Amino acid sequence: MRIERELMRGAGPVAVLKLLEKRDMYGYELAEALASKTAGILDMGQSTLYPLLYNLESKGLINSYWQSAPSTDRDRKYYRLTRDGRKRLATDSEQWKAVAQAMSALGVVKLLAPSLVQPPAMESSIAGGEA
Amino acid sequence: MTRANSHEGATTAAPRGLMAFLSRPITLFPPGLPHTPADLLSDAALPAPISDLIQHVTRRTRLWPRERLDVTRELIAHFRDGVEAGRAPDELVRDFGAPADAARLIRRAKRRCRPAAWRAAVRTLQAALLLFALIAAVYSFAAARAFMSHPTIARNYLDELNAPIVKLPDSDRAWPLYRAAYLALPPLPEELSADFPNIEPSDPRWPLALDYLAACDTSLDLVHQAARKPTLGRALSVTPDAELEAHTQFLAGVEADKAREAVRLIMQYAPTEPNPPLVNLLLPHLGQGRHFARILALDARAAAITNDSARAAADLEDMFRLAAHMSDNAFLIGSLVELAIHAQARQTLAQILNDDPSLFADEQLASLAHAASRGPSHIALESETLWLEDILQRVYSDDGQGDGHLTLDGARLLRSYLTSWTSAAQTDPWHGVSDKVRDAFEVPFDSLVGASRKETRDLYASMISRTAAYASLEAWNRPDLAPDAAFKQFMSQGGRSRYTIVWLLMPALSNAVWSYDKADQERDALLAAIACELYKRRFGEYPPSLDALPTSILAQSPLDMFDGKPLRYTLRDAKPVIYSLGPDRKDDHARPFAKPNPGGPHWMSASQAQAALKGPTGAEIDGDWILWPPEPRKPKSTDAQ
Repeated sequence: MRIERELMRGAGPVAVLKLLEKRDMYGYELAEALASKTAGILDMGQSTLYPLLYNLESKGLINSYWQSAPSTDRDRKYYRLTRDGRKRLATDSEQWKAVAQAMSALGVVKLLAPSLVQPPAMESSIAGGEA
Repeated sequence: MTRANSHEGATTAAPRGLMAFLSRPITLFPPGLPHTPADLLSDAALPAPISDLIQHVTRRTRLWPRERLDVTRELIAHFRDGVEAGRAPDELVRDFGAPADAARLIRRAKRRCRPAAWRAAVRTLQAALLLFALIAAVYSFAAARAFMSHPTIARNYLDELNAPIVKLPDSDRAWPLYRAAYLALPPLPEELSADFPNIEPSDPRWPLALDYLAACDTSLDLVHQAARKPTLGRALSVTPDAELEAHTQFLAGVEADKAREAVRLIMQYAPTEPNPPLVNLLLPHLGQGRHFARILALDARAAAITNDSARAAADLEDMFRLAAHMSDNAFLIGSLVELAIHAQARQTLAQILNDDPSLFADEQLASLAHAASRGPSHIALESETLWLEDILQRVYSDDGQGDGHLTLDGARLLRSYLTSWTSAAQTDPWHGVSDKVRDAFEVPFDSLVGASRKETRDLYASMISRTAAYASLEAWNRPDLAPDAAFKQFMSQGGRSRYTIVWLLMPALSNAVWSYDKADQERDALLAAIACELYKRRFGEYPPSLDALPTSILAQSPLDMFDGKPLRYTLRDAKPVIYSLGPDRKDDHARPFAKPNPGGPHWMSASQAQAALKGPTGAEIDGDWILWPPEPRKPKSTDAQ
């Protein structure tokens, strides 16, 4: 399913912030997580993901650092949620919740739709990356 | 455990906040690292499609080298992860998205990460460029409009003004006689010039003044003949009269050679175009008329001293007629000269009558009163708009609907007027700037900020019509503020640069109106004084009041311009005193002003007068305005002897 650009523009940042809430992640990892955890709905091309990350960084919501992964001995650029990023995530989450409830009340969506529930196995496979 | 890389701000413990900032290397390229994206790509040894994609994207970002290096590293890491995850290079390239879009979005996002100072500088530069572009666009528009359009000089106002004049029969024209009178004038002796014609018989220069009068005999005869013509009949012209110019040089005592050269230059620079600007109009008859009036005034007094009442009366009556000729063209300047000559005639008559009440026969007095009552004519504003219309057609373009904008030719013309007519050129911000630069920059600017042709005309017409309405009210019923009070304030607060032409041409309208008020007041008082004299001759004594004068002598009591009530009258030493309350509107029982203004009191409203009474000029209005008898003549000037 292809999501309209405007909708993606609102959903993408909060999705990335949410992914970074638990731990720091690098670009490829984020891209894979977005695709797999949302059943491909929020799968944005890397040409969109990296500018999105840079934008969040410019706003001070995330910051980045280079670090080597022991398994590959390669450098990766990790992104980390800042304090402002956490506040924004909390705010945006509330808003999305309100939107979802409103849409649900209208019958546009059903909350906790089965297709959007992340399979536990997939989540654990991504979460078990390099962190 | 992970191993932290030391470059690009990386630390083992992923430092945050201040530590992260302080730990950032200050060198662009830390030693031991590849210096270019190409080096990085070469070291990465990625499949060719991926390497090409990264190179293509990073190059298109046109970011700073350090930023490109960072992006390259991150994309290399990204694709390596993909390859290591077992994905085919082509698939990875396809999933990446459009390189051009990626480069554009990365560039935009990365630029947002740049230092605030840099972004502020860029914004400032962008704003400056935008402003510059805007100014350039507006300038181009204004310059093109001003430079590519030209005034359309459609009407010849000079010809239009002269059309009725040239149709007059020669027998009705006074001008040829005045001209001949001027050409017959002898030079005024230098000893008399300082206070001519106010020379008293007791003055040692009196015989010299009589000699001058005798030398003016031919001129005076011609002036008398001219004054009795029904109209001036002088065709208006911008071309000097060489013969008159030469005689002016002669009267001024200029040596013959120098006079000839002066006249040659005057004639050389005279306008020759068929439709010359109206503002170049020459009105030499105004100055000549004033000089004739002075000679007539002296001759009237000389005649009165010798009891030649007929000659004195003729001189005075012809002064009134001469005055009327001066306003024939209905220009305000001509009207003001009429006003001045009329005032001189009234004052001369008043002095003669006061010095020798029995000089004139009843019929002569009645005739003089009749002559005095014919003038001055009403303030003439009709022709004033012609000056404006003529300048408008030379300065502005014409859209055919009565509007237009400033043209280059017009701006140059205005500049020449500003330089030659006013001292404003000294305070002009463009003063000293070359004409070419002014043409290039001032003209487009003025065409934007200056009023259009219609706006200029509307403001001028509004001022003229409002002044005409103001003048039509009785003085005592006028509002406190004259129409041009707000106009003057507007002009002093920047309106001048927008309405330059109006500022240049607008006469001091309210002053002109008040001058007429004062002239009317003095004339009415003189007529009342003549009526009192006639009453005395009939009844043996002066009337107890102006109301006692029969209407056969004075049709109605004149009114005081300051309160609208009859002029005040009293007998002092059995002689009449006629006076106005003056600006303070208070009856001081004919006590004159403590410090009278030579030209009579300035008009001011009651509230303005109350304020003025407390100020430094209070003495000028504290008291009454004595209209009759005339002020005693000043003692002779010792300097002039």
